[in-house]
Amino acid sequence: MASSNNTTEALEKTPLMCNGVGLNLCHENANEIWEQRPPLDFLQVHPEHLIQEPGGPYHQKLIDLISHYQVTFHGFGLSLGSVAPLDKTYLELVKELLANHPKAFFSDHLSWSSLSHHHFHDLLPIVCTEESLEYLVERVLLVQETIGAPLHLENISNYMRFKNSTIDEISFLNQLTERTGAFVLLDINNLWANSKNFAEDPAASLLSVRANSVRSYHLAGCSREKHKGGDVWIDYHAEAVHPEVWDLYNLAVQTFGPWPTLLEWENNVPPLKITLKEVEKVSSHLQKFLK
Amino acid sequence: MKSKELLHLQQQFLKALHGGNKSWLLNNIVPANGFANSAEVLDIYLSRAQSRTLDPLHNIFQTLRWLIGEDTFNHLLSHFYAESPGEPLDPQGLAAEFVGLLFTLELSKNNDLNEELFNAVLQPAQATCKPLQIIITSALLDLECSRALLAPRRRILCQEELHRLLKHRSHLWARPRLERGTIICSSLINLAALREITQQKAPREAVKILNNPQKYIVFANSSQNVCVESISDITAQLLQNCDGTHTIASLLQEGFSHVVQYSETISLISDLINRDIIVDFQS
Repeated sequence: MASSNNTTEALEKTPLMCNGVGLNLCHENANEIWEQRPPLDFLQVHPEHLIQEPGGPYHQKLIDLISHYQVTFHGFGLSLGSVAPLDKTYLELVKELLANHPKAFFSDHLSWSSLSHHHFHDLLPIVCTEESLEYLVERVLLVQETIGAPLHLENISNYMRFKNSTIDEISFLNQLTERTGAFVLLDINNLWANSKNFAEDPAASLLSVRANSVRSYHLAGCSREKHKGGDVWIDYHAEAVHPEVWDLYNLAVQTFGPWPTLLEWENNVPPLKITLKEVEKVSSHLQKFLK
Repeated sequence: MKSKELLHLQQQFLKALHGGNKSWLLNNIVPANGFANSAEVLDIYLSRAQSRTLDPLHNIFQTLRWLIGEDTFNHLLSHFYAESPGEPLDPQGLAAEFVGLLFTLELSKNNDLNEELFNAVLQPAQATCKPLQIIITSALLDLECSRALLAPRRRILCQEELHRLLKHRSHLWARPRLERGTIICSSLINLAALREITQQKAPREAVKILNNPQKYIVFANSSQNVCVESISDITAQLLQNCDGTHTIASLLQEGFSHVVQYSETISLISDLINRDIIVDFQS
């Protein structure tokens, strides 16, 4: 349980409000957010969009919204677990964005998505061993040195693991953050889906995350798919947050304290008013712990 | 320090993605409980990587899709993915590589695909263009439209300000510029009609082939809409020099050699400002 002291400490430490709730900016919701400018504590922006679309209608909206809202930056192309060199140009862009938005933080995933010039546009799981941990420690330190800020590392959803892994994912994340000073962006939905898919206890998984490392949360909808061997929970971001994920979120806030929370909804995107209702719901959950 | 384990995993994944041996991955994957086996989950990851890479091309190549139909376009994409030397992060880079592949089709050994592709193009009765020419022209049009749309905006002066400068006593020394991503090209295919018909999602029909090549301009206007318009040879001549290095005096001099008067050139520049084609005067 987070004590009131912990909550106060948290409020002092994080540049974004701990009870801040934000939305992810994507092509599917940009028009509505740009036109309506709903009251959001922050907007999550992908730096990759600034590179891939240096002009055009989406770019213009993105630039307008970055200057209108408090923002955080969330990458999907860093490919931290790749054996290819880190993209220095990309990291320089992130550094510049953080310098221009001093309250923002930068997050990306504990995964890999490219090999050399081959980009797979997916977040692939890594082999969790002592050897890969050493490698990831070096990579995270290099990223942090380049951008001049702690990295927020997100736990991914995955549907496969590897026989040669010798460390479980959460222990791997714990050791990585402990050795690098990076923080955890705890994706509650990913943690829940992985636990369900590998028949583990979601609460136990959550409680095994190193307490002082968590600094932000992601929430999203999960879709159940039928496969040959049974049901699989897919992190598709195409529906409202699952009731069990809300329960797990409450446990997370109780355990790790209130931190900026982002609602992700990028597929099958409903009218903005529906998404904003989910945002309000996150807000009300957080408020319970701030009273 | 490199991680040999991660390197091996990534090399095996890349190999599997391009039709290579999957045995190492299949032996080492522990699938989530709902999957029957490691093959099922690996196929999902592989097909997801392929579809997420290729998806942006569906949006970029709207004219080509209209021209050859959805099925043939998908076959072409699969062939491209199998042959692709890399998958760039940027869809524009991938689109450029895709157009590069089209240029080599006639030389390729994939005769079944070539035949399907060339048969897919509805030819006009008296065609003076080969199917491959029509295919490449359509793909290039799509690529140029996409580049025009996504290029960083240059516009720093509004139309009123440009007109004011055009009337200023020093106007001869202004150097007109076009928006970034603007392309002037020549084609035997009516590009303006082709663009319009595909934007309207009209039923497929034979493309309009012209008797003589016509000049076209592809540009994004101030409302961020891509325009494909036919232009006269004189206009094309003038626009090709609107790169920020030629002064209006230089454009006038060029016009004189084509028997175009001062007032006609100034009027043309004014019209091009109104049409959002000339967007800046380099000072």
